[in-house]
Amino acid sequence: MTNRVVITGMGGISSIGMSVPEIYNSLREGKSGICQLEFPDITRLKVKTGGQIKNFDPSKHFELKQVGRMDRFSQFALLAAKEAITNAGLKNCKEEWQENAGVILGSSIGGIETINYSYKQVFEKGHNRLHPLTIPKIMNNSATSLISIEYHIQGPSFTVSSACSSANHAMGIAYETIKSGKSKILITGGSESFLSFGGIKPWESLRVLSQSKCRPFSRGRDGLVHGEGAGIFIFESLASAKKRKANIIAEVVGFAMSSDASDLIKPNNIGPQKALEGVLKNAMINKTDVTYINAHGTGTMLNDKMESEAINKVFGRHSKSVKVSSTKAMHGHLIGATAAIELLACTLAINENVIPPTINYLGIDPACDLDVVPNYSQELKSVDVVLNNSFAFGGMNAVLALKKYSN
Amino acid sequence: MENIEEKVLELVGKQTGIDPKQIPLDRKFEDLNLDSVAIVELVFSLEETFDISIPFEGLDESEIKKRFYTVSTLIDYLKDNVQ
Repeated sequence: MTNRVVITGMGGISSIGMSVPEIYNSLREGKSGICQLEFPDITRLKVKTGGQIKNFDPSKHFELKQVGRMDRFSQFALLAAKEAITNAGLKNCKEEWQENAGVILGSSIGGIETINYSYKQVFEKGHNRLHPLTIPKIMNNSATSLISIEYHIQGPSFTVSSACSSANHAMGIAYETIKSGKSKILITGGSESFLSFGGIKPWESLRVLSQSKCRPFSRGRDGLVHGEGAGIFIFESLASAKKRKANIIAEVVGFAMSSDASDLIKPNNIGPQKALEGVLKNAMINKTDVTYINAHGTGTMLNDKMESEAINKVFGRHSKSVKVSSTKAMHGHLIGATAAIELLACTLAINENVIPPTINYLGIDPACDLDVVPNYSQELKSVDVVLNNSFAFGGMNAVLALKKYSN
Repeated sequence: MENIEEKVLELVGKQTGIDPKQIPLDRKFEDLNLDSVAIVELVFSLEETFDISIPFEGLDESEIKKRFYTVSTLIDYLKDNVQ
């Protein structure tokens, strides 16, 4: 027996909004959160823009003694989790839901702000003593552990790390864990914060950053722009959601993964094609049922060309009628958390029949001949099935499918 | 200037696994079996060694292979651009 899985709560924090309603509003309006980055040594970087969360004061959200115990990526995760748990009605739930519930998050980079600070202390300043919580702040599962501790969640909990696909892998595993009956409620999504000199410099060396603006699928695109934040969701078995009369946001109906097995940094279209075919099969849906794909759409020459080829191959003639947008041009590429923010674009589409746009679009690139919803959002009569694509460096691919909930 | 040629052959040899003495100057990059990772590393090592900046964004190694075409073209480029 398998369980149906639904989303009953959402939380988010990013450069385009500090809560889900704010993020929804920006996605609807095509509002960009990309701004001038502000941090020490920025002048030594070639690229100086990104989706940075400005004026974030952790002391307004956490007790002072807590602030120093958490890296910024964990603070984002805790705030988004609070919103999601409240939104799901679990905060005041009288049932003992925590015992079998779990936390499965994605993070690729972990506590890099803490790593940078610690390196400065020992290498630059010559200190020989570091804060005792340096390791617990750095570790990729730090945010997951802190959410588990905060809400006393005792079931299956871990962190997934697969570069740009981390959050999609995490949410996919959460879906499968509930589907198979191993858990009824899982807190899932992703969190990332790396907008600092030490966080961006290695990306500069990889030669994939835009010197202008992120323009996914557009002619004249020249690379990606980074962002930071967290997206957290409550995935729940339909039976559990119905029992506690929870509001159902969408149904999770499929998940598939694949590996390019070809190149550490250069994507191919075979792996993504396999993941897209896999998710349709897993969700038992026809390609013509899919209304919208939130693309990985990084804005690099190679990813967008390869992703377009994969979509064209899998969807055939239908690829011209399916809406495909990349919201990364608005919030930036959040690496391990990006799929989580992008799942908010998917739930917006399902709930409001609004397809968020691909902004900064200058015109068609023949290599990316898809309907990318250029520059302005589009309202459709109905959005039934949506896919969330993630295709990571290292060739790790993950695609999640959502459907409008109907009894 | 001879030093540039020697160094380039050494760096190309490192990425291809071919003995630098066995790399003909007219060998096309296309035929050197360099994948995207090898090209990114080669460009980086050239920049570090000669303290220059080689314009190359987007990880499409075919762009570099086309631009420099042969080992000799790359050596000429460096001779023109290295101070």
